[in-house]
Amino acid sequence: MPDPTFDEELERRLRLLEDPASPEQVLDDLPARDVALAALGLAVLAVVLLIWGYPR
Amino acid sequence: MTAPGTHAGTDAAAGESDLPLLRAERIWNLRRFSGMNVSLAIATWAFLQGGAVALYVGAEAAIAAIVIGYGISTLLVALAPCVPGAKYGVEMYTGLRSVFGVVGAKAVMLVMTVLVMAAWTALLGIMFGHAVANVMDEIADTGLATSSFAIAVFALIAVAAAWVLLVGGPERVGKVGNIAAPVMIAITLGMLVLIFARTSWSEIAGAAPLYPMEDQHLAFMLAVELNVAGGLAWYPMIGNLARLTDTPRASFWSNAFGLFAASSVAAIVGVFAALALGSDDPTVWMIPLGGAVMGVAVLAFIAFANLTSMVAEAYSGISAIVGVSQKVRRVAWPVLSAVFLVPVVVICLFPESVYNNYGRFLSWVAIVVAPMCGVQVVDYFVLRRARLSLRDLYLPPQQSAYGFWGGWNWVAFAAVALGALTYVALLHPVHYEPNGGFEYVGASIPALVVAGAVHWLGTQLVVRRCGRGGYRDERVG
Repeated sequence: MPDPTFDEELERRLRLLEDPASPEQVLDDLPARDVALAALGLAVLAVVLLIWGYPR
Repeated sequence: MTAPGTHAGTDAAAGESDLPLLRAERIWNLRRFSGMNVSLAIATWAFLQGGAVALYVGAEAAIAAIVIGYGISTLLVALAPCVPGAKYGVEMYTGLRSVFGVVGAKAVMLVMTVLVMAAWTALLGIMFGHAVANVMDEIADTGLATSSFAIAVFALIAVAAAWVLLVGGPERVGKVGNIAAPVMIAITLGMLVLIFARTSWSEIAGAAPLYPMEDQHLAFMLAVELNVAGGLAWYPMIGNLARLTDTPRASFWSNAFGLFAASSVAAIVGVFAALALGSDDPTVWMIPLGGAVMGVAVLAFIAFANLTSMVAEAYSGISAIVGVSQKVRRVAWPVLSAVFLVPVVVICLFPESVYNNYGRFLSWVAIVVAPMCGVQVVDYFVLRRARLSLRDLYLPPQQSAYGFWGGWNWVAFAAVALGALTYVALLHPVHYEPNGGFEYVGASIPALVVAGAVHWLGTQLVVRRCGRGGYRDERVG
């Protein structure tokens, strides 16, 4: 059986989030530069640590 | 915290239900989510992780393995589920309806909650049992630390206590848990000081692994794999926290400070302790390190910290179960809590099978989670170009673009299954014995890549051609 309270609240929120004029919109996308920066930083760190810590 | 699912109409409860969040309900900025992330990361399981790594490699290789393994896996987990969860403010398994189908995502949620989150809760309970047994041994010289029966009994007491706290006062537990995090940070730093007060860096760096292997490269890869799996194990939990963040950067970069940096530091301290004291069991370290009085006090606190972590883990799992259906939403909270704890009780009856096999335990988690992460990353970022239809996430299968076939996306399930088979082919999860190829690529990452590739191919060849899944029709965002 549907829960009217939940359904009403869901509909209210969806309308707000779907309305381009509403301040309640979904967040922007994460900039691709951030992902590239994180991946690059990790790659550099991994190389340095492999040189230093790889078992010999 | 309050019991979820009973206040669907109020903003305060939105974060605990599967309603999409509004801006005002996004309570965590970069600093606050980083703080939450750090407090989650420096929990007792980080010491278990360090102890497990010390089985295979010495200190320097362990530092490299931990940083590389955690770095790769937390970057992946930060991408999915964190980024889509934060962008749309939806509960993680609600978001996964776009991947596995409206009904399929509920099945995924049940499996993840019942098996993975219950297993973590049980592991914490068993660690509680070990901590209490060691305290009793020190105080009354009882010899309980070697008794599986006694540890199981203490673990079951922890489960019962967790249920009482879940039913009666999760709000109070949340407040007490806030104290646990800074104390755990102090314990971690204190351990570091005490380790180096009795052992020099050259002694620790020169110490042999607890379970030395002839093939050091293979040992190193096993250590890296342990940490990749350890980082991926955050997958079922972290997405629902990230949805409370107020910017995409807060949802992404906070993981670098918490899940990555803080977990790495705590695990490295665990490695040092394990190598210095010759044991991979964190509950054995405290008395030799801190002396009888301080050691017992720290162990008692660790038992308490495990209890608060159990409640948090169980609470997160039960909150996810609430989203299964409106029928479940109406079940009384104490009953739901008890049902969730049933598999926890079963696992606690066999304490050594989990606690003494932490690597195997992580392996079982990674078999499921690594392919799921790969499928979600490919589905969200590649196939959907980071666009979901919010409304379709909540529509019934016959009306939703995410209905696929009767609510199930069999292509995504097949991709996860093939990813899991890839894992098993590279690293046997029961014997924990690597097969050919593992020494070059590990197991979790190939499983993730295979699952992602199969999902991409299956979607292009089958799902899109059948006009299912809404891959050309994302309406919001």
